[in-house]
Amino acid sequence: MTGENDESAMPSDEELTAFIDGELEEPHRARLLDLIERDPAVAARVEHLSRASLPYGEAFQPLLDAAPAMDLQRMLDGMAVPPVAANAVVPLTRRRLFGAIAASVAAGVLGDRLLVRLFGTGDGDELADDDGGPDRERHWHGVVAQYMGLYTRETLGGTTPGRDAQSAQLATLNRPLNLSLTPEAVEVAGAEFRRAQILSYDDMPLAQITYLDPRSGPLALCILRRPGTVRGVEQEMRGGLSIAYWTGPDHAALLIGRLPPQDLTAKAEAVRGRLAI
Amino acid sequence: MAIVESGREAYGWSRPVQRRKDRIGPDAMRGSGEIASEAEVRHGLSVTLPRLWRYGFVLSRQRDWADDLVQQTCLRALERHGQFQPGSRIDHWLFAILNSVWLNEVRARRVRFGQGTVEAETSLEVDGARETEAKVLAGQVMRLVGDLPEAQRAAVFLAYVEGLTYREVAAVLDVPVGTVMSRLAAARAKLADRMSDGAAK
Repeated sequence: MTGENDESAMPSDEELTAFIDGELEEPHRARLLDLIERDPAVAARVEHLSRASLPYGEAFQPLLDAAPAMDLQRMLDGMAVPPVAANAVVPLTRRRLFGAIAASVAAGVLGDRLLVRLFGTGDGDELADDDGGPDRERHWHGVVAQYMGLYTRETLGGTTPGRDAQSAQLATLNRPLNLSLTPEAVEVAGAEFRRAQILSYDDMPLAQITYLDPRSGPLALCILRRPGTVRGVEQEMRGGLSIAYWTGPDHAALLIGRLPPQDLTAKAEAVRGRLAI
Repeated sequence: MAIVESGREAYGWSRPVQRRKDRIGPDAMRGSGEIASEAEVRHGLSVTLPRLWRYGFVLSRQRDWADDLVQQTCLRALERHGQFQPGSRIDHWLFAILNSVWLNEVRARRVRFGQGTVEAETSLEVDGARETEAKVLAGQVMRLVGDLPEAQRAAVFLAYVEGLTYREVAAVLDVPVGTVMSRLAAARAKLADRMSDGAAK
């Protein structure tokens, strides 16, 4: 606002700006126009403010050209909301997705084990391969990232189950994956345990343990039973999510969440030290 | 103009994106049904991606944050496609989502991790914008706008670059119209002072 100096008739900068921008309603506009013609101080202020009428549209054009349009389009094309949408006639909302998950439970898959099938979205499966390289070994990272991209704090809004309940949930993962997970081993620093369940990837059992990190939101530890070379923790980004991953002789594991890669890697290193895979 | 004119089915509207000079009214983008389909929103996203990225860059002043903002915006928009009113401007709706993602998630995260909010790893000046006079001017204008406080920067961008009306800017930023007026007036005074000082060199 312009200071209300001696010129008590001096309109505010808001009014003058709205006048310059053509946003004033008619009676107001005409009154101001009249004032500008009569009062040189008002005219001078309008003239001064008009110096900021710059060629903004042209100036910001290069930023449009600088936008990674192709990458963004590929990202959008690869974004399935939710992953099962590829096979669905009706586009699925999150609610429908979890409805679908519930339906798969109702189908009575393997007793108390919740079985969710994860699969890529075919040709548009961009999240599954951010690097563009044919990295089959890490393909499942992309599928998990796509699935985890759907999680919000609300998804994991419940409470932390007690140790016994955690052990019972983990026990359902241990046999199919040939693991011996305990609540202590799968603890993630600073995050609260929420749920352990079995998903399936490419017909292989995939353990998913979800956590809620009060700072960054949903986190998940995923373990796939698949023999491979033992490797230490490495990191990558998929679909805006950080992934810290490592492999043991019989399993591949990853920790995924929306937090800075170095923070996630530190958490992953700690889990790796406690977890025999 | 970097906006891609898609040859795809237009889902009931003809030109989803136009430049500010030929601003169009809300009726020009009327959708076909009462509830927007995911395909409709996906198409709207597709033709607006570069503009969303640009807005994300203007807010965050960093390329990777802009990438992240657009990605989150796409996810939210697809999730909430049922909330889009088919008769309204999908680009404005998407700007509003991006703005909210910025305020509530991305910027908040950056503050939380102690990275501050003012550092701009990449200036608003685009690489190589030094060759011609026009590019020099573009760089100057972007720098002037880039130096404004965030709230003013967003208002100036939406009103003067994207050509939204005050009311539309208010809707995107989710603030009263009076707030938009104050921010634009303050920005204009600041920019005018700098132009007068010859600071835009």
